[in-house]
Amino acid sequence: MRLLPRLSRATLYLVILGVVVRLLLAPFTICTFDQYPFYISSIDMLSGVGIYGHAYYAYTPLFMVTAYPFLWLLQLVLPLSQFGTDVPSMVDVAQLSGMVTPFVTAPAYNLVIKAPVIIADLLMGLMIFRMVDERWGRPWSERALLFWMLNPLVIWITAVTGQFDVLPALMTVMALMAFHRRSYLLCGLLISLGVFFKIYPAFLGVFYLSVLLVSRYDSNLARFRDVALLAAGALLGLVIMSPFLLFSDQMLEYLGRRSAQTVFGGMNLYCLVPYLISHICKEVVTEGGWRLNPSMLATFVALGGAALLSMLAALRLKGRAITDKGDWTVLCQGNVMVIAAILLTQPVTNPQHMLWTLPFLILLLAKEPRRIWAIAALSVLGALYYLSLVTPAAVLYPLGVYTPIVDVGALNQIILGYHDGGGIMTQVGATALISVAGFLVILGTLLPERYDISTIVGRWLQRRWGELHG
Amino acid sequence: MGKLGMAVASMACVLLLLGVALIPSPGYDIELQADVHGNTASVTVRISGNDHANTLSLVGASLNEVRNDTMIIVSDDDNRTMLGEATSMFDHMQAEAQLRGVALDLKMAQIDELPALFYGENAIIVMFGHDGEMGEAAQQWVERGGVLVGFGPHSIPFVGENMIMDLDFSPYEFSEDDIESSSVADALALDTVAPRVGMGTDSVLENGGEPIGYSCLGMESLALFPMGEGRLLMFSAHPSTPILTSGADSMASDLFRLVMSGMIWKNGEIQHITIQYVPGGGVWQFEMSRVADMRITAISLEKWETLFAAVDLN
Repeated sequence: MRLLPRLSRATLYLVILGVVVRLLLAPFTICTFDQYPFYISSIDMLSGVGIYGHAYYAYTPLFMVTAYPFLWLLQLVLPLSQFGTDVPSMVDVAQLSGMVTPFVTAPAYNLVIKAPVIIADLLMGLMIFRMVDERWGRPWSERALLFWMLNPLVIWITAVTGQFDVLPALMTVMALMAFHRRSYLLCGLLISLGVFFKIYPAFLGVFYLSVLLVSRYDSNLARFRDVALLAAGALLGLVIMSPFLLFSDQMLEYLGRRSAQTVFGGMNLYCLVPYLISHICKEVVTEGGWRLNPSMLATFVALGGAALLSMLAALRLKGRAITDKGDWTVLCQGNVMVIAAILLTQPVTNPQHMLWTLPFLILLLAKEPRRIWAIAALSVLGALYYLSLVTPAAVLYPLGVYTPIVDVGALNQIILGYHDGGGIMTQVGATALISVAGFLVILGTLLPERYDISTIVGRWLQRRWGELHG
Repeated sequence: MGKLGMAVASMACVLLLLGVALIPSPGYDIELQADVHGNTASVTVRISGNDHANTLSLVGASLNEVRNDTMIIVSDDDNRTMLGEATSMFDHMQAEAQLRGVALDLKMAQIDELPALFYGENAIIVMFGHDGEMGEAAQQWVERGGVLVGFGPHSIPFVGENMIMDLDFSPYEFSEDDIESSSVADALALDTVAPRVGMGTDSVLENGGEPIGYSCLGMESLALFPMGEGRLLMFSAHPSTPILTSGADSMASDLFRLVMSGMIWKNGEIQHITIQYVPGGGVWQFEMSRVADMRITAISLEKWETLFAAVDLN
């Protein structure tokens, strides 16, 4: 397997452009709100107290593990005290928006913390290219590569806000490849590693297990062997993560307590009825006095919905062997279905979560061209959703603090003005509208073509465009 | 095993090695020693094994009491906001104690346990909820020697309009140019500089309190009220966004520093020395004025390589 495939000159230049854009944006942009826990975890790792030292980082640990070698190199040339700085003038903005933290990390730090995700971005593009190329050849494979590398939402999430969702997504795409090649041990390992980036790949593990249970086998022994290999792979992942499980109870402790979270919404089911759900849940008290709070209910809805869809998606392969192109497509569709179920039902669905499903939609493009509308809609809505929360000014603070190009006061004024502003499109109105649209588009990825809202709207726009331009 | 398998296996090995490298094992240490010569305390600070520069604060004060009370964070499971704040406070407080190598007996309790707590032994009770009918019991428990920690209006059952302690709470206008730090906030580098609500300086003083946090345009962020044998420590507001200046993280850090340095029991003025130390550490010697029942605390102020040590001179 060549790491770098032969690409046409134009595609190669465009891929290089995608990488260069990421590298140029990375140092001078950041989501301060999301980044502060990463920053604290970084200095905790570098001072020897582990990823969870100050109890800020509340994800499974692998993102910080992948960032550690880059951070270790950085601290050789940059003292920890210069990794970031308090910016008291941002306090008002932080209080008003709730989406800004008055601490801005330095350009060198920003580049380093984003390095693993930018590398993963490129690897994801190459994986997508290879998988499409093996099945449908050019030009589909080059198109798929560019759909990923030049996707504005992907660039925004990895290079601008610095979120790491591409890493678990890469694990899930590699798991698909491994599963289709019947490398079940490898598939189990990749799913397990994915879970140690973010929890959601666990549901894809349920999907693959279900596929093995319903597929055609000559003997139950062969089926048992494959299921055992998948499980062994997952256990191998646990072994790799054993330092975090055996030598510190902080990870499980902090993750376990996240059920106390109070936030709902985003591009999911709860964009429509948060107050109703909250009211209903408040009344649910079991006889034993155990109280079911809304986030717990949402978690159960997500768990149940995703697990059910995992099994339903697997049923499409009932009685078939997993060998031909058609089954590969069904596997890919299964991933889309399971991830859509998670996105729709989890308590909070944010723009970065679109990166969980985008690779699979791109992989399906050659077989199902209608997916282009969902890809476009999710990319645009995801980017708009973030912008509707705090405006683009919120990511430019490194530019304001560390260069003379932009003034921090001006950035503050833009955000304050946006939040104070009224008129037709208020901050709340914009966010709600985009949330509902995002919810409908994600729902459409689950539905047949004639009910898929993004396809319906996309084709209507295409027809109008055609009429207008002869 | 194909090339994909080889690549994943290599990646897995690297992750395992990195995981082992990241097992918490701080190699830095601090020793604090104090010898008394007449009215002078000669203080020696020895820092070793640190890879990074940091700032150390050396604080000396006379204390009314030196106690190692259990800290109990009281939450209300029916109130999701309170539960989230209490949980976050618990996590950050526990992390502070672990990082600083302090044996803090930390527990969580429910509001229906308050009656038992208010008739029980001395403790530090951190209030994230109450049922509003425990005012007298709470006050009497504090006056017998308990420590109660509140967060803004309605957090303490005997604090409010026409109650035993009538504090004036109003929105706290954070202004970078107008903020002033108390000697305690300065010495311990307290984090909570921008609560959403403040306590009027006059009302704090009228109720016998001492502002020990930050002051901005006539509003206080934190105050200590001696009550009989006990103390009421009032943060002026509930934890809120953003973290770092107003959240449960900053309040947990502040509470830890105030409790472990003994500042909640301070009696009179404090003495304060700042040390800037470099990688590799070093040895420093200082002299402080000896006061009765003195505690000297050394605490590193930045978030990395967290050091803590204390000595009591009785």
